Amino acid sequence: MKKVFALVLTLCLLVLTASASSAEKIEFFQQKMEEAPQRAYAEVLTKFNEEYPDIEIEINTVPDAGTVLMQRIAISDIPPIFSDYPTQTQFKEKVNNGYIECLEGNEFLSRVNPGMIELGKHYDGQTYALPLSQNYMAIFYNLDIFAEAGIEELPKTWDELIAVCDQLVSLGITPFSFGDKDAGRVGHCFQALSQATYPGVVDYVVSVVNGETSIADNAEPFRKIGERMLKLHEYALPDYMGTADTVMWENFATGKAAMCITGSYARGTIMISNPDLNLGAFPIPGDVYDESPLLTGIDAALCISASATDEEKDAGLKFFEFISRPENAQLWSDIDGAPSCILGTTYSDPRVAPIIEKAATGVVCDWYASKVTTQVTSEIYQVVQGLLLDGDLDAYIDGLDEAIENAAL
Amino acid sequence: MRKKGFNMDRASFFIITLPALLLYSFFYIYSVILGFYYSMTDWDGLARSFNFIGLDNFKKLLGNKAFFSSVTITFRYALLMVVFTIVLGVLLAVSLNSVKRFKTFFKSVFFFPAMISSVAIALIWDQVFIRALPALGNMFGVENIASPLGNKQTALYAVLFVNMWQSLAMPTVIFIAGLQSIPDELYESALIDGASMFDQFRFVTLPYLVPTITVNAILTLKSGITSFDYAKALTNGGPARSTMLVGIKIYIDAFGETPKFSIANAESVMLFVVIAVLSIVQISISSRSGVNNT
Repeated sequence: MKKVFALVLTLCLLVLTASASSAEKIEFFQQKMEEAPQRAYAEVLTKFNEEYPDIEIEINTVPDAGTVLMQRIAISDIPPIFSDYPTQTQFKEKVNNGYIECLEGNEFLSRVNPGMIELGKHYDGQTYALPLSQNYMAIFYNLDIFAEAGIEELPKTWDELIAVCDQLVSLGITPFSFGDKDAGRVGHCFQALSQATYPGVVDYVVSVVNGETSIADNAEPFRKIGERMLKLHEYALPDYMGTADTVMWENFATGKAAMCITGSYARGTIMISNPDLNLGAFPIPGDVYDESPLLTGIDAALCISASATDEEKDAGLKFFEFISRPENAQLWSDIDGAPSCILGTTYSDPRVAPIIEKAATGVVCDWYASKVTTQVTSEIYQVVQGLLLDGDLDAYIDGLDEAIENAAL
Repeated sequence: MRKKGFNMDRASFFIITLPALLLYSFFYIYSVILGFYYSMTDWDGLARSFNFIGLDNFKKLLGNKAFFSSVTITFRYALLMVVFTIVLGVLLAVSLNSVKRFKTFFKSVFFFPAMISSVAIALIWDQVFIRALPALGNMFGVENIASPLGNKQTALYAVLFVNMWQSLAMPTVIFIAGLQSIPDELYESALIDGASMFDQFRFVTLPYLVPTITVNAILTLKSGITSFDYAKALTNGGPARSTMLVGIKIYIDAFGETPKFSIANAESVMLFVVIAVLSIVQISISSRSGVNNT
């Protein structure tokens, strides 16, 4: 009798376990490791679950997300819903190979800023990702420190920026917090500074990649960019080469430096480090304000795997419809800190007005990866990191050509 | 009957070994064969179709400076690791073996790092370098001590140091086992003959340790050449490629945002061949020396 009872009990437990695990969670693989976007997604999903209690979407955030996603695609384990960067060549490759579901015909796309839809379109003119937020590279600054130092006008040109740095130094204030341990962060700064200094730089790099010319053939503007990278680092907190990005943001947020060159992706994280920080932002200047573009692009964009099940696709579309409602997009943007791509949202913090003003002029540019492969940009980043270590401009010029050659492997 | 029993035993052993053999064949041998195959294709890891291109990937790699730079860095790293492991491991083993009291306690202390995950250790040391080191410098009045991970000249040594800090335990245990196999009579005879401590080490301990040194050298060399986790977690190959070990390069080439899966496989095949050749050479040289072969 006891044996029969034990058997029945075991069977009941097995059935219960099986039924418990049958309530499948739908994975949402999101690529942003910073704390703020993770919180933003979690907040929106909590609201989503209230409206759709039968759909359980689970966020999966991992370090080195781009690489992990690529690994998963290689073994056909593609997350049903994921975030990606639709202007990048690597995203276009995914679309070319049929890994991403086309989103055309969905009503929620009409809620997106048409400019952003246009920017994110594939070569075939179709939309494969829902642009959720924009990013921009800027000089984030501490308004209180600027006020204490008596800096009333924000610098609009390179010379004005250097004058501000000198003024800060004369008052014993360190102008910049850099975190150059990760070549990727060095690269973001380089991308923004190079495009502000030499607006045609990406097209020139494309022609080098295509074998039409070389960096050495047009070394002067690249040398100027290199000199400016070195100059900015003269005003930095010590040990910037050993400093990770999180420490860079923390140093800036806690007032150890007056400025920090980073992307809007870090704004929310900086504010989490110090919610009382009086944070402003202005464009990275070139020689002439009107001619120096603001580096901006689509940041978070959401897509659905073409190999997802119908149920997963349906859940994904419902989630996209939900997150693209202006009130939800606003909630996401407020926590993340980046401007939303959704119409009807606002990004009205007067402290970032210089960025909004610049964007409104239309003098903007996209990231290198929209025109060259991320392999090329990664190789370039390594060379720029070497420049910051050695200060050798000749080696840097030669290294850029070599890097582009290496990337062609 | 005897013959039947013998066959039954063999069959039992075979059946017990079978699951492991199948798993090993599938996850290792089959993967290696696939790796060789993909190294001769142009598959990028994303495309749904690809072409067989023979040895083209190998030809490309032989002319690629970045690959050779990674190979050089990896060999430097592996050789330094072998030298430090042998020297420090032997010293540590001899010291621990000669301790009379609390022997188990000291062995446990030195073995403790081996129990922690390598990535966890790397992340802890990363924080030590960036936060604790400057604070320590300030305590002693030395300002602006920079993290060794942020310097091209020191980054590789810093990664090696962290790697050694954890991985020295296992070779030391092997050395201690080797030391304990040396008969005490030999030391007594040497003492009667007037041998100094160094002479005892040179003429008694070392010859007996040669087989152990060989094992440790091969294991360490293999571990150094295929090293990945410490450099990945501490520097990700930087700064400016100074710690770009072949393992990291293979990983980036295979799974980077612009993947080149077939190239990464070709790099792996080349690494495989190098390790195989080195192991054969090292085993053949080492097996000719040592107390067991005299």
